[in-house]
Amino acid sequence: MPFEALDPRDAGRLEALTATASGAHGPDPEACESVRGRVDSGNVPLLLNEVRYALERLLDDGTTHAIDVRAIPLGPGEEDRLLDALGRGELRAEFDSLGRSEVQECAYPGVWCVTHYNEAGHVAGRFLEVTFTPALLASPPEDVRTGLERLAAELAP
Amino acid sequence: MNLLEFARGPAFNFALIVFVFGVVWRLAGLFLQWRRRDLSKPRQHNLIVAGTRAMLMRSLPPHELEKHIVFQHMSGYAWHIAWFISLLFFAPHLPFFKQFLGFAWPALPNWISLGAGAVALALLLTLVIRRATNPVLKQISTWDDYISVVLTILPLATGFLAYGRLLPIRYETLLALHLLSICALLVWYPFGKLMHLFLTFPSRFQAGALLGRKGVEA
Amino acid sequence: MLVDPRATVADMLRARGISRRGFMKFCATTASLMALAPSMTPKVAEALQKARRTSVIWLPFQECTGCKESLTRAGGPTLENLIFDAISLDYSETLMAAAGHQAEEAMKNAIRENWGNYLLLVDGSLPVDVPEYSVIGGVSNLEMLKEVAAGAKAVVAIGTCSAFGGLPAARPNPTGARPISDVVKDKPLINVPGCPPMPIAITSVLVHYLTFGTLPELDHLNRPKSFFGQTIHDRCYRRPFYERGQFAESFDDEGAKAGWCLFKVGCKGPTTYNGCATYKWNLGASWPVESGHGCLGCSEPNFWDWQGFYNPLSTTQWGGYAQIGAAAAAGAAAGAVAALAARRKQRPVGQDVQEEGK
Ligand code: SF4
Repeated sequence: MPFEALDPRDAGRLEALTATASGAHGPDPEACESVRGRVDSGNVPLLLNEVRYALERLLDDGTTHAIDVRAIPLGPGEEDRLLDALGRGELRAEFDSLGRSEVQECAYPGVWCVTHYNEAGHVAGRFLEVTFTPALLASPPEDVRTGLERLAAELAP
Repeated sequence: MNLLEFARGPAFNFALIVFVFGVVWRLAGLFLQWRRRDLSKPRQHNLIVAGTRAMLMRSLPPHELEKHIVFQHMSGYAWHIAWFISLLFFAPHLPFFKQFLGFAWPALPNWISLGAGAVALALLLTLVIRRATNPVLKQISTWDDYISVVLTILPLATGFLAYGRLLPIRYETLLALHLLSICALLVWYPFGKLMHLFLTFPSRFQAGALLGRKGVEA
Repeated sequence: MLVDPRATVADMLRARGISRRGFMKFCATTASLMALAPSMTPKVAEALQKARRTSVIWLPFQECTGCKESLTRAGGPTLENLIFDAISLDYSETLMAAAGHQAEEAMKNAIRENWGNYLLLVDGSLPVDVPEYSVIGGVSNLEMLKEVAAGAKAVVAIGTCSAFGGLPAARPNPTGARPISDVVKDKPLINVPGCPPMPIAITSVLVHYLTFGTLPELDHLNRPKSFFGQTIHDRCYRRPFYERGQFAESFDDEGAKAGWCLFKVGCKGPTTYNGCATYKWNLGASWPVESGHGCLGCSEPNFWDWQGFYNPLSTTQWGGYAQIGAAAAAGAAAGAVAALAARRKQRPVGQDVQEEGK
């Protein structure tokens, strides 16, 4: 496969480079502010309103909603401001498959921030889910079945 | 070559050449066509004063007509001023002027320049509809009037369409149409009534000076 | 890596011991890669259950390898690369380990085995006027493209060079560089322009094809609408400054420091269709406008010759003072002749009176 031919150090170098420019989720706002200025695309309040209406609908008829944060054009530091505004609630779950993933309940119950990291620890996807329980928290029937098979095999004499 | 490339390249270049050629042609033709020597004895000697006086006085509405033409008069002033504000002080227009002049001036905030553009557009539309419906105006209007006013409206209209993306058309197409409307305006400019930009004041001055020489108090 | 050709993507993941949750994570990020709404994730999962590996052949023509750099530096080593496990990149000079005759052999085999079914990726433009300018293993690019395209299911032109001609086609275009679309007429063609294209733009086409077995919806320049559907300006975070008329006048003035709009220093964002403003570069670190430079318009035809990178969009390509001067001089001459002619028609003073008296 072609990727075996790549210099494995490249990945590390790239990571080091971007690590200096990136904070927890995206560019470090303070480091960037001097160069880029503090800007407001106006999308943060829009997203928060979208979440609000999604919560209303969730209560009304149980309709769930999801937002792909990566598909929203945000200015430097705005993703952090969005996440700060949503805050952190009491529940947090993690799993490790193809890299770490984090399911964090926000300060507003019913809003969940699901972040998928790749194996290098970079954000590979971030979604805001408005739902009572994120699907990822439930055990998938396929895995239950293989688990059951495993358990049965354990117990077999 | 797409439409935008055509508009900002060959089309604009052609329009600019026609504009410059046409304006200089007409101005040279008028100014070099000197009048015959008048052998009569001048009644008044200071013709500059007479000319300037007429130039200014004729820009005010005559008292006896004032109340009948107040809308026409004021809206005329208003849209001219507003039109030029949006032309000269809308920020994205300034690089356009800078490319010719090598310098630019501060822009006005968008809400002023765009507001002025909106006022100009609204007034021009009202005036052209009025021209087409008012029985008297209809009688005295020529093709030249309509072509000139429509070509004055088009850059404004297409400018708003492009700026606000008001049609489900790609921005580059709208921008190209805006540029093409300016090309049309430039090409028509020297040959229609739009030439009054250059001729209004000289002709008022000249009329004033001539009448002054004859002793008419204008 | 030996993979059962009938294995589906889901099989492949399962064989690697990846749980259902991991698969769903893969589907969610894949949907995001295709610029699909998160609600499409179950659809993607369903399709990926059945998706089979696709043979891909990548031909490099007059290019700088920037496109491949962009793609292979796309992200972390696993998640996105699974896509590459899921396709079988049977020939790519730059990325494959084999070289020389072995490589040519690999391509021939792949073509034979997958005739009519492989996806052909091309980067670089074609030297149409002088085909000898770019040759691989003694075969000119032009010939090779015709040959390989004949058996392809679809052709994807990666990068502005293969999509629109690109830098090799810049004036005076010594090689007669032309886009792929000038030669490939009878196959579905997708353009993924950019100099280089965003990695996600490339992967989204591959993933779409892999997942749904179809090509994404295209715009009038054959670009995937999901990715090239909106301008940079539409999604630029500096847009509020544009609306308010706050512009940087130079790259070091107060406006530039305050992060104002870069329109006046030449930003081509309003006429450029690309996803940089949303997806950003280098794992989301930044993108040109965020780093303080206007958009160059690299995903648009003719961006290389169109006009200076620093000329604002509202300027034109006028002919210069000499031309204006010439027009003015010609106008003056015409005016003088007209005036002279009119003057000659004037009768001397007094003549009209005498004539009237007659
Ligand atoms: S920086 Fe460019 S893309 Fe962003 S708002 Fe200004 S002109 Fe538009």
